[in-house]
Order: sequence, then structure tokens, then C-alpha cells
Amino acid sequence: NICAMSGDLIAADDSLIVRSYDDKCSYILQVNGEKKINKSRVSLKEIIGQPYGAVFELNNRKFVRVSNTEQAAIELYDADDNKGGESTEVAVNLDSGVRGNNHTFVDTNTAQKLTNEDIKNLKESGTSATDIIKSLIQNSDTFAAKTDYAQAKWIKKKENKYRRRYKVLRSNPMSICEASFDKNKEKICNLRFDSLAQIISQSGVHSGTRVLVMDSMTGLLVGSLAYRMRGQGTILALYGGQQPHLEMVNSFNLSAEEINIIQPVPSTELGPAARDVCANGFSYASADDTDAITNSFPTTTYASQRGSATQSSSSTDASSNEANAAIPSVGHKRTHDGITTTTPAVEETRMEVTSAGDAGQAVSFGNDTKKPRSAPKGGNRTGKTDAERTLIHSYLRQGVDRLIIATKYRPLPILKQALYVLQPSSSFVLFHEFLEPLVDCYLYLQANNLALRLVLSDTWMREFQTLPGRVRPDMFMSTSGGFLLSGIYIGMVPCAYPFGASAEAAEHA
Amino acid sequence: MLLVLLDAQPGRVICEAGTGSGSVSTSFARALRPGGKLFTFEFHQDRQRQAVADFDRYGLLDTIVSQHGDVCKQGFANVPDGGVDGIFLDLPMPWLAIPHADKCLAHGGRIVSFSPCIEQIDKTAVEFRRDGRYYDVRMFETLAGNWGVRAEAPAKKRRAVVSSALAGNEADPSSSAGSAIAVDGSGKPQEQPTWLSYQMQMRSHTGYLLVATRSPADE
Repeated sequence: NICAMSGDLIAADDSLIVRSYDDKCSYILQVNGEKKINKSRVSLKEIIGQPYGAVFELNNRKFVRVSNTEQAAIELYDADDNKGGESTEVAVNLDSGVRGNNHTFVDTNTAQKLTNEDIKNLKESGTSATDIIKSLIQNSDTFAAKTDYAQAKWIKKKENKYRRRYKVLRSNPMSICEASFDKNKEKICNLRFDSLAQIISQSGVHSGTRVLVMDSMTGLLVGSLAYRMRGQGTILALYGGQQPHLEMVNSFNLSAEEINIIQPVPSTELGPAARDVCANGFSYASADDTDAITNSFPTTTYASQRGSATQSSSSTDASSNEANAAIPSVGHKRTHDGITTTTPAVEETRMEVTSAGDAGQAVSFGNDTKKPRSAPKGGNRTGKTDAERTLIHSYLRQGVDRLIIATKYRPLPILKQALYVLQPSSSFVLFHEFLEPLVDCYLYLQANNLALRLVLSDTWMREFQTLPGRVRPDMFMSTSGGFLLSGIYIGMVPCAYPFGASAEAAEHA
Repeated sequence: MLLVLLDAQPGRVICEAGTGSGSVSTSFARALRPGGKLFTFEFHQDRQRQAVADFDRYGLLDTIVSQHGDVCKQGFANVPDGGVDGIFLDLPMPWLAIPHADKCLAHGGRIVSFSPCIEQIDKTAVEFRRDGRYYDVRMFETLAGNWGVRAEAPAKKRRAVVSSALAGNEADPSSSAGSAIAVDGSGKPQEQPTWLSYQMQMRSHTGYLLVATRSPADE
């Protein structure tokens, strides 16, 4: 069991989610080093060795664990209090009778005798949160007459205000996606976690698959795919512009081996590869060349010491490709190469990545302040050496068996080229924040008879609170998590590559 | 959605009750390979036999262990204590299975219960929250909605390009986009038809998904 979960404890090099109890903010943080929460710098070192799911209080920029009984009480009211506004529900108190209700209360905002000034003075004089709350209770006209439930709710609210409490959660596709979605959904193209789940499920990506993916979510999707593939298979990560932006991959706690299957590919390489495949068919690597896939960019010092432990899986990859070579494609005039003629020189293409220095540190993707150790050679736009480009070209020419496009741009131009490197009978999924760009793709695929089982869909999702006897939808709900177009690619009928070099340039302009 | 809620990944161990048709089991198996295991329990003997035969045919018996039994009464048989990373329940009375789940679910492990009725959700959630054995108790309702695309006929003699809705699904659109958009005022025919997308009839409810995470062992 490579993912043992006994004693789910926080480790020193973990990336994790810290969720604040007012539930407005979740932070994706690395344990090492100081981080900013609520505009103040905090150290997370104190939580190392503590279990995930524990609640901490921020005291003097340090995290102090809250007792179990207190935590249990917090859990009971957690969902209720933080999902919006004052509610007028009368609690069904299961244990003791309802002591009172609010039908005599008149909300004149005069119930609390302490003024804002008084409270401010208490805070500044260093009074503890507990004592502040006690003072507030003593000075409230209405507190004593509230029901048990209403009192607890009131206290809970004050505690959120005067005590800063945080829960620490494990990083995984769901928690990372939710934290990103709550913080800034535009940055991740409005990808809600149920849509992310649909993308993974409908594309059928799993350990051992070869997937071509374009991710405009700073690596949220690529990271999730790598998480589900755990070091076996290949992820060709297309990107536009000069550099890949896959920073979020570092939040998934992946080992170097698991990250190694990600090969960033500039989108400018897609056109030439597509043209090549159209003219010459797919090229299947021999057993020697599969080393290239597992030992390429990105590597850390950690990974290079380990050597190619994943060779056995990549040879399975090659043999299944060989099997595909025997099956004639539908409606094609292409011929199959068999063995590739170009053997990429692996040594020269081992790209150096800025790692944080220590072995085992997370790999950085693009957009880093440090410069790569090897200066880019050659005068091409992407700054890649000729050897690197040859390597990438050979990966694309081997074809992929899954295609996912999830960008903020219109997907159709990418789709048109990407289909050439997609093996027939492969699944594809296009995700977009809006419906219309996907309609264009749907029409294109249908008009050219390129796919079966085309489905244009979105998911409606609503969360509920689940307190005893009080199960109801939350007051706020996300209205959209994006749209999906999925289907099965049946192969290309036209065999002349319709895009000239000038058309490609125009599309990438 | 189940796979993401349960944090499924290669190498993990998941329990499922009941097996039913085995379609969910197959999906789990694909996500857990290589190295993972799915222990699936079905209390109906014939269905369990059929499921095993299917798993064999699909070549999944290296990953799926199918057993006949009632997890509410007997618990999760032949499963290591504290060695399970995720549990999926599709049962009429899932709250009865929770005490058994306590034993085999590792700290940090996830449990998902699927129920059509709110009352079932309520009873199960109460079990989760009892004594703080689970945290992050949440519930979701999700529905997949399909969209169709249809060409709008231009107000001309020239016939519009035909395209019906998705292959195989000819449901009527719930509402069109209002009145027809005028094609350009001159006599020139439009080259491309206008496309309208519409939501198709969808099944409105199958069940609620209740999820929780196992707390650390009681201190």
C-alpha cells in the first residue's frame, strides 16, 4: 500500500490546506517557512506531527492545538454558523427541552451594553478572548433568555470574531480545488471540484494512460491527473506563451517520480507534430527510447539519484503502442512507421529545474524568480534547445490516448490540431467556463464525423448543512462550475493536413 | 464525484457496500490500480455471484475482492483494522454500518454514504458526529444536466442546415431562446445558421452524497 494513511500526521515538507473558521478563506500553504494568514506572518512549524483534521488557535503567530472536547463542540456548530446570515430557525433541541424562543425579542441593537469603544479597549489591554466573551455575556440584556442552542450559536460567533481558529486539512484534488475556487475562481476558469471530478472520470485518465492536456488553471488539473496516475503513464502538458504555468502542481505533495511523468509542451510544437503524424502516421518508440519519457524534464536532484525505477511501466506503454500499430485505422491512408527513426539524445535534454535546494523539495514550475541553471540555446521563441524540441516532437508523434482541453481561450483551434495526435477510439474532454466555445467544438466534431457519444453537459451542485434534525441547503450556492464536452474520437477521415504554417502562426498570434 | 470525495488513487484500499451491478466497483478498480484493492460486499447471493463473474470477465479480480455478506450485521469481513482508506455505502440503513466502519477506517480515511431520502442522511450524519469520531461532515446534491444544440431556421425559403440534438436523445427543449433572430435585412442568405443551446430533460434526483473524514484514534 504505497499510500499508507495510518497516523495521518502533518509532515515537515507537506503542502496542506489551512481553513479559517469563518470559512471565508482557505489557504494552500507549505509547512516549511513562514506564511501569511490574515495579513500577518505565521509559522506552521508547531503543527508538524499533529494529526490532520485538528483545530488550532493562532496565538502570537504560532499555532496552538485546541482540546478535543472543544473541537467536538466546534464541529457540531461548524456547518451551521458559517454558511450565511442570521437564521430564524427554532432549534429542535434533541437533548433538553427548548427553554425559550425569540418571539419576545425586539431587535433594537441595544441589547449589548458594552460599546465598541469598550470592546476595543478590552482587546488592546490584552484581555483574552474568553474574558472578552464573558464580559459581553454579562453585559447583554438578552443572553440569559436565549435557548441553549441560541446561546451556543452566539458564543460560537463571538469566538470566531475574537479567537482565530484554523483547521488543517490534507491536500488532495478536492481540497485544493475548493480552496482555489473560494479564493479566486477566475484564476481556475471557474472549475468547481465536481466539474474537475467529471473531467477525470469522463476522460478516463488513470495510471498508465498517455494524456495530452491543456491546463489554464496554473496546474490544478495537471496536478490532479498526476495525483491519480502516481508515476505511471505520461502527461503532455500543453501551454501557450513562453512558459508553462503549473505552480499548483507543487501543492499536491507528489514525489519527484510522480511529477516526472509531466512533460510541458509549448503549443507551437503541436502543429508540426500534427503535420508529421498526418503525413507519416504515429511513431512507436522502441524499448530504448522509452527511457526518454521517464527521465526527462522536470527532474530534481532527488529524482536523478533514483534512476529510472519506472522503466517497467514505460515498456508496457511501448508494447501497447506496438499492439495498436497492428490495427489499421479507420478510413486512413496513413502508413505506420513502426520504429521511430530519430533517437533523442537524452543527456543533453535533461533540463535543469530550479529546485528549492534540498533534496526532496517540491519542483518549481515556471514563473519562478530564480533563473534556470542552463541558459536556453537556439533562437526559437520557446527558448528550448533543438534537442529538447526533438524530444517533445517524438512524444507527440507517439500519440496519446486521452485528450483534455481546459483553457480560458477558445478550445476549437487547439482541438483541431490536437486530434491528429490522438489515437482513434480515445476519449476526450473539453472544459470551459462558458457554453458557447464548446458549442463551436461540438458543431465542428459533428459536421466532420469525428466523434461518437458527444455529450455537452454541466453539473448542478448544492451543499447542505447536516446538523441533527436540521438538514437543509446552505444559504449560498455556486451557480456554475463550468461546462464539459466529452466524446470518443473515431479517427480522422481527411488525411491531408489542412493547416499551413502560416495558419498556425496566425492561430498562435 | 465518488472518486474525488473518497480521495481514490492508485494503491489505496476501499470498501464498498452493496455491490449492486458492479458498475461503481469497476470505476473504483480502475482508479485504484496498480497496487490498490476494492473489497465489495453484496448481501444478495445471486447478485454477488453475477458480479464476481463480471469482474472475472473484465480481468479485475486482481483488484476486486467480492464477498457475500451483510455489512450492517457482520461488518466488513476480512478487511484489516485501520487499514482501509475509503468506504462507500449505498445501503437503505447506512447508520447501522457506521460502527463497523469505525474499526476498519484509517485516521484521515473518507466515508461516503449515498441515500435518496433526507431522513436517511439525518440519521447517518448523527452517527458520524457522535463522539467526534468523524470530522468535516458534509452533504452534497449533484445533478448532471445535458445540453442540446439546434439550428435555428432562418426566415427564408432557403433551408437551414439540419442538425438535431445529441445522438440518441431527442427530448424536446424545455425552452427556446425566444423569438427568431432576424437574418440580415437584405435578401442575402446567411451562410451559417444560428445555433441555440438548450437544456434537456434530466432526471432530477437520485440521491444525496454524505461524506465525512475519520478522526484520529480516540486519545
